[in-house]
Formats: sequence, C-alpha cells, structure tokens
Amino acid sequence: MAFITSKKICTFCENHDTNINYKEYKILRKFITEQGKIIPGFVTGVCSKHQRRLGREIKRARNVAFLPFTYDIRHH
Amino acid sequence: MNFYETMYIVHPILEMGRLHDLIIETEKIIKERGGEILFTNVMGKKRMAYPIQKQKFGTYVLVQYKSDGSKNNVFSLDLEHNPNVLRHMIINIEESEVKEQTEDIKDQISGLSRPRSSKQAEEKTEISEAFTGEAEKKDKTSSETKTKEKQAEEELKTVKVDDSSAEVVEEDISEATADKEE
Repeated sequence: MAFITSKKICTFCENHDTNINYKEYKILRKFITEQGKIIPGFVTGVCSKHQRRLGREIKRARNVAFLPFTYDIRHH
Repeated sequence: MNFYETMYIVHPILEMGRLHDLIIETEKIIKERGGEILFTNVMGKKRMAYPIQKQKFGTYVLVQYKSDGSKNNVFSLDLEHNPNVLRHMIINIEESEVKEQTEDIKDQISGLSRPRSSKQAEEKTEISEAFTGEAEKKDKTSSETKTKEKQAEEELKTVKVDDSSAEVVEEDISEATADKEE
C-alpha cells in the first residue's frame, strides 16, 4: 500500500535502474491494495507509461502466484 | 528467431534428483521443438500467494530460450499434461533481458538445501550501508541543531548571571531562533 499524496513524481522515472518485472514482485506489492487490486496511477503518482507496464507485470505475477488475485482470509 | 521465457511451478514434493530430472526433461522438450536454451534458474521453494492444486508451496523454475515460437503451443500442452507442473507461463522477452548462465543446474538444486547465505548477506549489507548513510546525514543535521541549541542555552545562562545586559542577550536569542527557523 503506497498512497503518496504530497509528491506526485513518478518513482520509475526518477530511478531508471528499477526494473518493472513480474519476478520482482516485492516492488510490485507496493502498487496493489490489501485486497489485491491495482492502485490507479493518480493515487501513487506513477506516470501513464510506467503504469501500463506495472499493470502488465502485476497481471503476470498473479498468474504465477507471486501476487494474489484477491485477498482471502482463509489462506493467511 | 524470438526470445521466450517460461516460468513453471513444480510440485513441492519433488526435490534433488527428481527435480533435476524434470528440469532436464523440459529442456529436452524445448530442444526437440527447435529451441536453444540460454538460461535456467531454479528459484527455489516459495510460498505461493494462493494455493494451486491444494499446495501452498511450489518450486519455481525459470527457463529462457530462443526459438521461432511456432512450437510454443505444443510445449505449453506438454507442460499442462505433466502432473508435476502446477502452473506455467510462457512470455515473449527482448534480447536484453536474457541473462548469462553462471551456475550449473545441479549446483543450483544442491544449493537450495544449503542455508541461503551469500546473496541475502550481500543484500543485508547493502541495506545496512544505505541506512547508515542516511543516519550519518541525520546525525550531521541533528548535531548542527544541537550546537545551535547549546549556544542558545549558554546565552540563557549568561542572562541569568548578569541581569544588567539582559535586554541585549534576549535580542541575540531571538536572532538565533530566527536562524533555526530558516
């Protein structure tokens, strides 16, 4: 959960080294809610270019069970 | 020729020899379909975000290979029909994303049983270094503020000692506070 409201500068534009990849699901975890939904770019401050990649990679990570499709209390 | 990446989750029961056999089998299938294997990585046993086939854990294996892609359909069917593979995903990647093979598969599998040492330790040190760097900066800033506070306190003491020059010193303090605010 990352609700950055004060500074809206894209974190991926700032740091070009950070790779948006489904294998690095620990980074992606910041951009989904507790329920597993993708947080919109206007809330996190991610630019539209990187938001598109984020969405793609999060969906990939869900398919290989790195990230949840939805949060279910029975599994935890 | 395109570059592809396959991530598949192996049943957690398979370990050591059987896991190695399965990886070799899948590699053989890729080679039979006209692919060239570039990189394989056994990522180890991980807790999955949701259970697949009633299993909470799974061994993740990553294979990067080069092929024309016409036989990818058949390859995915092969994986689907294998009961030891819980889940698989084939994606198209760019050449820049292909990694170099440094460690043998056998070493990787045998390394899984060992306590995860070097990589995690490196990460930890990096993190700690980063934190210490920040901490030093914080110390510097805090020390600056502290020195200012000390000066102010000393000035206050002088106020208490000689009442005659009280007005003058008070002005000094106000200046110091103004500096702080800046």
